[in-house]
Amino acid sequence: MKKATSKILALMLATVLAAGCLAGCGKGSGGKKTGGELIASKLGFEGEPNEFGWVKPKETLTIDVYAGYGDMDEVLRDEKGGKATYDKWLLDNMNVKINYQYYSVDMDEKLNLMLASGDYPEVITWMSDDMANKFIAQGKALDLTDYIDKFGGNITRRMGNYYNMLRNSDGRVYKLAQYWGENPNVAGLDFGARYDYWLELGDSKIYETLDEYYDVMKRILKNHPTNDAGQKTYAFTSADKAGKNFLNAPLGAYGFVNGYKKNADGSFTHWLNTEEGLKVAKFINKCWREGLIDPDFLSNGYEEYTTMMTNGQLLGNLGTWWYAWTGGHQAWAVSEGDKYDIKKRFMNVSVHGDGVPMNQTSLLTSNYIGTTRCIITDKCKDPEAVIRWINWENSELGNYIVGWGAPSENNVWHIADDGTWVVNDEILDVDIKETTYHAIKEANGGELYAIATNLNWLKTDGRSDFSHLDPRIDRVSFYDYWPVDPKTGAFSNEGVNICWQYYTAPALDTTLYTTTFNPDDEITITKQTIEDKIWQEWAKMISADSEAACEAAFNSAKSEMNALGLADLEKYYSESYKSNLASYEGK
Amino acid sequence: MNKSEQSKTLITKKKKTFKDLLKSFRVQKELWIICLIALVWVVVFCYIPMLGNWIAFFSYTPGKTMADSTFVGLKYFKRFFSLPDVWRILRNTLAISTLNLTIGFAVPIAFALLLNELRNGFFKRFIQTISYMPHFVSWVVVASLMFTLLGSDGIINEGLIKIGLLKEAVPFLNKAGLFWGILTSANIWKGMGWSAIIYISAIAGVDGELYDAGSVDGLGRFGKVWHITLPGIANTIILLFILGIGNILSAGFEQQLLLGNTMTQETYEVIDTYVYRYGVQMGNYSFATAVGLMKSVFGFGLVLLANKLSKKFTDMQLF
Repeated sequence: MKKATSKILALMLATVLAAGCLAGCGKGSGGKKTGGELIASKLGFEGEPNEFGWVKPKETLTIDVYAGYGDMDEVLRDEKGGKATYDKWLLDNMNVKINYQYYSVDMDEKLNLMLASGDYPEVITWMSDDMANKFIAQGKALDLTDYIDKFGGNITRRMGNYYNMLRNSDGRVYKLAQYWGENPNVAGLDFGARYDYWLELGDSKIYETLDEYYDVMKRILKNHPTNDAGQKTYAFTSADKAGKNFLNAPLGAYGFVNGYKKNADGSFTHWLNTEEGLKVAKFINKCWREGLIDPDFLSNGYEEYTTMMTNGQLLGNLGTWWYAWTGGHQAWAVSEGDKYDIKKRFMNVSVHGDGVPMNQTSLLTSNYIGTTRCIITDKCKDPEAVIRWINWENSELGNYIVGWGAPSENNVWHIADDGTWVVNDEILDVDIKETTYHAIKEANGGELYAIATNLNWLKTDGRSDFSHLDPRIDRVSFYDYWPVDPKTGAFSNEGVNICWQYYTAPALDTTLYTTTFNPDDEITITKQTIEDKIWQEWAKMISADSEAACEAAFNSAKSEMNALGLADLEKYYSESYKSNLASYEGK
Repeated sequence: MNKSEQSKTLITKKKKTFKDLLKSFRVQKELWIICLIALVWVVVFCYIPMLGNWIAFFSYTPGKTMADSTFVGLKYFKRFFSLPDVWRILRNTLAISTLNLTIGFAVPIAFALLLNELRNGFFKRFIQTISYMPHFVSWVVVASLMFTLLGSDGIINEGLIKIGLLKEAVPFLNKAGLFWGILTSANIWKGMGWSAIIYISAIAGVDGELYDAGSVDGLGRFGKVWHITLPGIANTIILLFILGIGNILSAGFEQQLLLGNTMTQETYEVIDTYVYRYGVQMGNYSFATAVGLMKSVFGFGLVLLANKLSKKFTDMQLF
């Protein structure tokens, strides 16, 4: 009987093995080439465009879109009515219905499941470039090239040469950029300080170099060794458990991008292999040894960071500029009410490294094609109609409607009789900016259904036409609007001006620096291994007991990383840049 | 036959034959029907997913079938062992697991024994209930508590400075050398009460007459614990120890990610955190599956070995 049991067990194991081998051998179109001939839309796009620039189809255009992580229940509850308002406007004026779908799970995980099961909608947006490439590689994304050539005039016009960067090696386009466009942010990597404490120093000019910043922070710290509650104060801390901001900000002051220096011959050098890298390490180590850095910087997250700012334990801000806003004046304005002094805030400041002019820093960057993508999948029955819609989204007026909801007297903007896009005065009031922004989103459907659209930044790039825009809107984006006094060029709001008047670094276009890594490639493992090790070594450089020990840690890290293949990474980044440049130039 | 011998007999049961199995289906069909849902659950959620292990041997991309994927043999297993940090990762995993399996395993037993000695019923139940609580506290909250306790401005630093043991604050959570100890302490604090439940139950099952007999024979409280209680729960201890050995390569995950930082990475990085970053986060599912499979096979092997050793030295075994 024992023998019989063994036989049954062996049979079961063999069955399991065979089933395992066959698992996943279902239908699938891996590698199938899609696209080719254009499929004409049957919805009836006839006649002239309406006042919004859209040719209204006879049949309703319905688009199912998966848009990543989100709370679908909350969207459907639609407590402020914005979805209902916008849905109605879309149907009445455009004969379009958009079913935007969110899932409260990680988008990459969900997309992998969708790929494995073959259960995905006709449009996917907000996906990473890597995930878009996965869908494309398996023939799940449609070739959009010919559709865009025929129906995507706004997309190609406004993207200009950047559109070429979406092409594959055969020159075909299978993915679109979502939230693309030039980003004229005012501030980037920050060397901030408490403005009220800086005024106490009586300095005649603002600091401009790393050493001057160190000197200012040291003096402020001396004047304010403890906060009101008697807790010890520090100049900086970190929120990423690695002190990455302590590296990235000073490297930005030296013009490095992604941790690499771009040489005149087009080659890239990792910061560990540069003199500037050593200078940065010594600078941060000096800050550590002089007590400027919070000893718990490796344990803090964002909450701890901003809490330390709000309770006065942090006197400066090194890295992400807006931490100083949320942890600083925005919190104090609420907690202190009428007693709040507008000078009690952090100023965002840009500094440059030795021998590097401010206009060659990389503190403020802008990636034109962004990092998120949209694809139209092989489930789409009417790609022409979807491309027509995305093209309308990318018209200047389409951008406004997608971003700010339908124009009406109930919204914060409307279209005047002379065609001007007029905004209400409340939009110009920065004190209630948060309130108006959320009201636009929640009550008017703003940003509800962006599929593959421009960020709606207002800074003109020479390809967009904003001549209809309310002339009072003159700087930065509509989403992130800060009015400027035309006479002085200063921000109209005193507090905003204090924050940003000393941020003089211009934005650097980093689109060509975009580098993607295939998970299964050895170079990806090399990159991840080196990154992991570097942050461990960086922590040692920061907390070294002496400058000599810091330099020894730097040199040790340099040797170790080079042994792990840093030269391969330098070459990979350099080739990626050259390839991007060739794509951009349409070669 | 004394109690201990009875217990051993329960564990060292006669091996079932296929005929016995069929007979049990026939005789105990009602019980089998009751178990049916659980059995289906086990098959669907524990056995069928094992079929997915094929991707450990293929260069797999989600959406591709096995036919579309390239067979790469043991590539991902070899990759794991060729990683520059593999031995450090294995060292950390084994060290943390060993600490959990020794100190972390012994503390709930000691706690259960101590709890059993409490005579005041209300106080005993109160302590027992309180001790369960940390089990339900998420690691995020535990990490936050640890930061509050062990940070530079934390209670422990403040206390040590006040009593003069420290001149200046020590960032304990940045000290790689302290990480294993801190993690084990946190694990014990969180799991002690919960893990003790099964021992408390086992102690409750020890025949009270044995204690009376022990008293007559002149045993004190420690004597009773040593000669009666511990032998009475030995089967349970061995059972849980053998099962624990099977998880020796699972040394934790979220606690490391939450409590660790780059300064302590050389001591906190374990197989699971590594696979999470290199396999799951980077989308390299074949690699993640290969390491997971390797862990399971190794753990299963250790369970078999421990079972064999237990049989040899204590005459008790799991199966």
